[in-house]
Amino acid sequence: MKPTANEVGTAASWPPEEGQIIRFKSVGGLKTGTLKELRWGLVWRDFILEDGRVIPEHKILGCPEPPVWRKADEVTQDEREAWERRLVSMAETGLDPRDREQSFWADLNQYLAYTYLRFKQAGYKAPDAQ
Amino acid sequence: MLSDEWNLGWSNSQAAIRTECRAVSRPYERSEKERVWKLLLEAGFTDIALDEFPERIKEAKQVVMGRLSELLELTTDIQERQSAAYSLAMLKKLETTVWRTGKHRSSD
Repeated sequence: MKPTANEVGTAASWPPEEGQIIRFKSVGGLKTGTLKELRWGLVWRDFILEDGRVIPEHKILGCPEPPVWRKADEVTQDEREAWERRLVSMAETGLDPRDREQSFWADLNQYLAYTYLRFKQAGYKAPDAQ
Repeated sequence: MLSDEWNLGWSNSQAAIRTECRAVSRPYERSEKERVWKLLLEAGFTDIALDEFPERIKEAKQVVMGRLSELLELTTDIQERQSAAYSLAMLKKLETTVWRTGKHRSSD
């Protein structure tokens, strides 16, 4: 896919808009795709491409450092349970989480990051929180 | 009664205090964001590679089990204890699925 004037290249106009062509880091090098929508996950934002691929924001070229993310306590119980139900359902239908850039991989990745942060953070106290 | 001059001076000093508070809190917020992001990056949870799922699930389970053992010593936080136990069960379920899928794939 040829880069066009519509392509995202700098962090100045972050995040990109729907319909824009984005470039992202992948196993085989840099890839491109057309952004369909931006969706918040349990920790970070996922970029959903028109062909169904799901790319985490921090893998998109031009993403500011560190990227925006949610605190674990901002995720409601309902949201977490809905996410877990979806994961179980995808697992039961035989989807392989190792199919990179597909929904199961993206959702499982976020769930593991969220669970790790949630319980790792629980024992951590901020420097000024005496 | 307070003069307009005093009022102006007082409100300016309040604005200065507010500005200073923001200036002080911003670097902390930024460093907190960076610290948490670094924690995720170093633990390898931001981009799990194809064959790393079993290892990452195991690691997440260890963190949940560590927290659960802390919670079991407390008489409070019953809800968090239940939530941690549920998350642990969920991770075990996912671990079984990933293991089963991996085994199925390798036998193809």
